[in-house]
Amino acid sequence: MNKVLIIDDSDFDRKMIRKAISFRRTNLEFTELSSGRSIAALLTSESPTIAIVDIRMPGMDGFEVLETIRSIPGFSDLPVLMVSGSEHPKDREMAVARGASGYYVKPPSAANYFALGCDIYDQYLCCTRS
Amino acid sequence: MPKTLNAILDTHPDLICRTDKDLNFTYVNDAAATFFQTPKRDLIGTHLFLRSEEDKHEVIKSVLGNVNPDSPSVTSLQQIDRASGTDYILFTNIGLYDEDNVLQGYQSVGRNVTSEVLLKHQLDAQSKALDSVQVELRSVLDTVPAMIWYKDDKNKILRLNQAAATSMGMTVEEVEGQCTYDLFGEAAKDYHDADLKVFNSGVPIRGLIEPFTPDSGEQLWVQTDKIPFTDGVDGPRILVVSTDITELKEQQAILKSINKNLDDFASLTSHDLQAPLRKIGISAELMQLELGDALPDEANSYFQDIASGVSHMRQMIKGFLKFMRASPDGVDLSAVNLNHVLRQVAEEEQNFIDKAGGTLTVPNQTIHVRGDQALLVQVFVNLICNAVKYRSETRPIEIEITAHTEKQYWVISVSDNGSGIDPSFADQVFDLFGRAKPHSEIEGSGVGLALCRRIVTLHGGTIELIEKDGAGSCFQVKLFRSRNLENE
Repeated sequence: MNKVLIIDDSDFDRKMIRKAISFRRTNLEFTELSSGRSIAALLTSESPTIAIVDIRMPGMDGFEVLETIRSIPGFSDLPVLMVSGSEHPKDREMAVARGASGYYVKPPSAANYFALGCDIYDQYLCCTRS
Repeated sequence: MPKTLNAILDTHPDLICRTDKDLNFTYVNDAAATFFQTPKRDLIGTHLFLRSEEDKHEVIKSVLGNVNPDSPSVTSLQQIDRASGTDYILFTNIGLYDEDNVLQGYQSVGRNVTSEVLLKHQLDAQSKALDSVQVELRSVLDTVPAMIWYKDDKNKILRLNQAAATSMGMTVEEVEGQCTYDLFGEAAKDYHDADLKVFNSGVPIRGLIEPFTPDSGEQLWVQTDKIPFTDGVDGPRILVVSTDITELKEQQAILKSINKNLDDFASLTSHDLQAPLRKIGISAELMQLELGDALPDEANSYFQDIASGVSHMRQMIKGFLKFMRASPDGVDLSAVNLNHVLRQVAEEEQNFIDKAGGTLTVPNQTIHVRGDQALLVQVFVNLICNAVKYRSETRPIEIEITAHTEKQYWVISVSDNGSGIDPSFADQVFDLFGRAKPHSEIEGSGVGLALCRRIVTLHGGTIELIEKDGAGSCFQVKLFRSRNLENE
């Protein structure tokens, strides 16, 4: 079973990411968090296949969550995809610099959301352990 | 008197004469005879006053009146005006006394010192002129608002103006001759290092922006020029001229902070506005996808309205963000070849114009302006897109870019034969989200011309919609001319 961890303070975006990735696919398990505060404990108990992290969140932002993940032994190679509602070029640069596996701007339409879900599934989930 | 001695005296260049106590000549030498313009034999036995100007008599009496046995010698400088010119004679008058100190007569030796006196007069006049130049220079130095120091290579302040002394909380006299290290604490080393760089290279430093931190004055920011020079006599010298830019620096800091806040605000606002917009758009889309079949046909047209509203709003947010990002911090002004800019724009838009079946002409003359190349490209892309967007439906589009100079500006006109803009909209078209036509008629974010005006204003220029003969509209952009162009 592939485990997808979604950390986003927006209920709507968590729902859309889940919907887009799981569209017409089975064998996926989702864990959703509205903040990254409890990330350290959760990672060791859940062992996700991939983490999708929003950048702009109140309190602990996505970059801090990414840093925490990378600092935990055994999770330095975990695919972490950063997503953001803004198209600010600095976000992409910072995501890459801090060791993110990918960076995506949150899509403006449902069709684009499904296309993104498809990309993420093909790239990180379809061929991994089940 | 022995004959040989008389012979020596006779030919002596100084005028020598002797009189009895009543001032009758008893001896005159050749020079004296020449001076009195009378042969020797005619002088002997005659009174001195017969041979001198009347106005001199009192002077002579007064001079000789000072002669006495204790101080028998008196000198006096006499100015003798003659038709041939003025002579100055320095007379040494000696009273001749017998053993009982009874006056027997006088002996006078006169030396013509005209050239010495004239030289002295000349020197006095020059020194007076120099004094007046110094007073003038000091007054100029003390009147200019800049702070001026004149230093040597040991960091010693040789001279300074009033403004410099005041800025240090001291008087000119208190500072002159002092070492900078004793007046500026730690900063003195930085000042001295920069001075030494100028001394060693012989090349002036201009526009150095540095903190000014005198021990006893106000803490300021200054812009400084350091100019080396030598007077050819003393060692190397440096002229330091500083202008107080504290207020400018403070305003810059405030502006920078305002710009940063605005930038953050724009970025956050756009993010915060995008999130609910995505939510509305995507939810409407999903509702149509998932429930479309179960909804009445009428609902589908509402979904289209929502989608179009969301798309318009998204465009406005993007435009707003683009507009806000053209901030003073992001402007990098240098010499720009506008022909390159216009050629680049023409190439980018050619496809667009070809599709619309039109022509675009650019000016032939070489145009150098002061600007930011990337931002100027945006200006002309926007103006050309605008011309295409507002083209006439009945004739092929013609866009003509022309240029001419006007004082310190290049005036670039972008003229088209399109549908034109009502003159009553002339100002409104440059407003953010201002439009000459409703959104339903012409697609657009309403940011293009506002962005053009913002960019041109950041260049210190202007942009106007000007009245045009015939159909279409004409935008006129004024940009500062630039003389030197690097990399060309």
